[in-house]
Amino acid sequence: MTNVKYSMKSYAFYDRSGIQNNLEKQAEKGWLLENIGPVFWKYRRIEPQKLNYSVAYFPKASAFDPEPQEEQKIFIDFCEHTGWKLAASSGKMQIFYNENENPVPIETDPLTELESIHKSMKSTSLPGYVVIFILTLLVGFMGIHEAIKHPLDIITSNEQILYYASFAILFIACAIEAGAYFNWRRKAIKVAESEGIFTDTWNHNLLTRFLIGIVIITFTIMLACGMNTAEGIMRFVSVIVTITAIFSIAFASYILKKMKISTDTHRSVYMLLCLVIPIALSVFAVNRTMDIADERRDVPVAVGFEWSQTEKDLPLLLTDLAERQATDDNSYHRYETKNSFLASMLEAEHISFATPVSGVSYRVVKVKQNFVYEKCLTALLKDIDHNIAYAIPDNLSDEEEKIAIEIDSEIWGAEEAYQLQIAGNPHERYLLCYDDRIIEIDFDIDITNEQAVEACRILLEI
Amino acid sequence: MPRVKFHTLTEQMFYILLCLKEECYGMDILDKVPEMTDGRVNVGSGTLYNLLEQFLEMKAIRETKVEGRRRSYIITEIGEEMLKREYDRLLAQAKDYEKRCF
Repeated sequence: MTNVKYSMKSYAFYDRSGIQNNLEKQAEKGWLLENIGPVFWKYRRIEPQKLNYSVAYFPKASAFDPEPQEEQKIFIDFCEHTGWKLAASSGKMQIFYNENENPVPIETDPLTELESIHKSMKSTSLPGYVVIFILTLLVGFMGIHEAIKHPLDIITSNEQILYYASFAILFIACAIEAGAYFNWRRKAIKVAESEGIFTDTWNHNLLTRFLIGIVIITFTIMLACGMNTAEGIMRFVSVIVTITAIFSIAFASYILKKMKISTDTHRSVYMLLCLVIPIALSVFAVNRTMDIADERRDVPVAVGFEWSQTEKDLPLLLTDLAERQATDDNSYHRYETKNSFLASMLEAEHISFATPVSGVSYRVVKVKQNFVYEKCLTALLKDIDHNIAYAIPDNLSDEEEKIAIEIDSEIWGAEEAYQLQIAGNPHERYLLCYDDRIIEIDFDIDITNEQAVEACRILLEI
Repeated sequence: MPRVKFHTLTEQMFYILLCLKEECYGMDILDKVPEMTDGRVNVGSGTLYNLLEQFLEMKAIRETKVEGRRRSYIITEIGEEMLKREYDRLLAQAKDYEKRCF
């Protein structure tokens, strides 16, 4: 039978009522809190008994202190005088227990207690909330920018959707935590002033655990989805680097504390480590990712997309359209697929450099959820002139330079059809809307209508 | 309406200052207050520590002796004024009560 157990810390810093209740239950089960680590709380086995716990906040204490400061020791002496023994402390949070049945509480003035909690929060959790808010808002703005500029990149990528979703959930979790604190504090001040009693903190431990759990699951699925692309590997490595950096810094800080290094030295070394470890790990990670990407190039993976080694993998080749010789020596091909639960996209091109140069390029967007169909169509229409800037004369206004003209869809067997027009001249690029997919195809080759329709039929069979 | 800090004193503030009419170790106040009030008023150790800090900050008390971690304090003129003001306020309250009820 083990005499030590660890449990994961999952209470908000200020949730003194939640922490006290939990520790009192643990004591009844025979566990006494012994140490507070950065992630886990350590308990020692004792005889099951009824103990009173009290969480006190000492704003002058620092997580970098090798041992309690002189003033903190006076505070602890005061508490011991009334029967409160220090069980464990972590920075500004001091946890005491008392074996007496009805001890005088450590805090008997709710306003003074609220002030201590708030002073401690201001240099611990609140800056953390601000950092998370800034980070998640930054990612959110990037997501909005990306959704406006390149909506298809997000709609057709599970990774992208999950990436932004996990940050959105993190933002919500943080907003709930910060909002709950300020809401509780506002009410607690009111009650303390009018009734002179302390308002118990709201125990939202389960909700926070649930949201953090969802963030972890979402992030894990996102990382798993992207493991076949170099971008995904890079993202995975970044997460591993971040986690390693956090644990390395926490471990280094733990060692420095054990070595009883002075508060100022500990703080300076900690700051230095916060700078050096992430940079060192990032350099290592970038090198390693490039190595992995290089290794994977031998198998069909390239930066940013799934890659085809042979042109035979392309669903539509130049040779399907005309009697042309397009060998590996004089042709270029690209094949990219993306997939999400909303839509998938295949993007490919095949160019022959044999004179005269000719080519075919296409994008096939398969829509899996009807509500994104319009969004996909709008994005494709807006982007109908992609990769052909060379064909647009410089002196044209934005309105003149590219227009998607609606054309007769019947010959294509489509519900709607559009053709790109540049400066009034039709370009051989079409956008064809079918029930579950939208095809964009560009012919840089002289072909007949029948050949064009045949090409489209091939793409409908994918 | 929020209470203006130390404009009126809580019972605990009042008795801490009253204890410090005589030089006294901080820790001893924890025992003196319940003694003085027949156990009606108790001051928590954390509350006492914080209030002593605040009183020192506003010069309502001053430190007289430091013996290791044991420190003794005594009330200052500012503290006396605060105590007197609170006493007068309580007295006025009591008089108002007497006028109405007796």
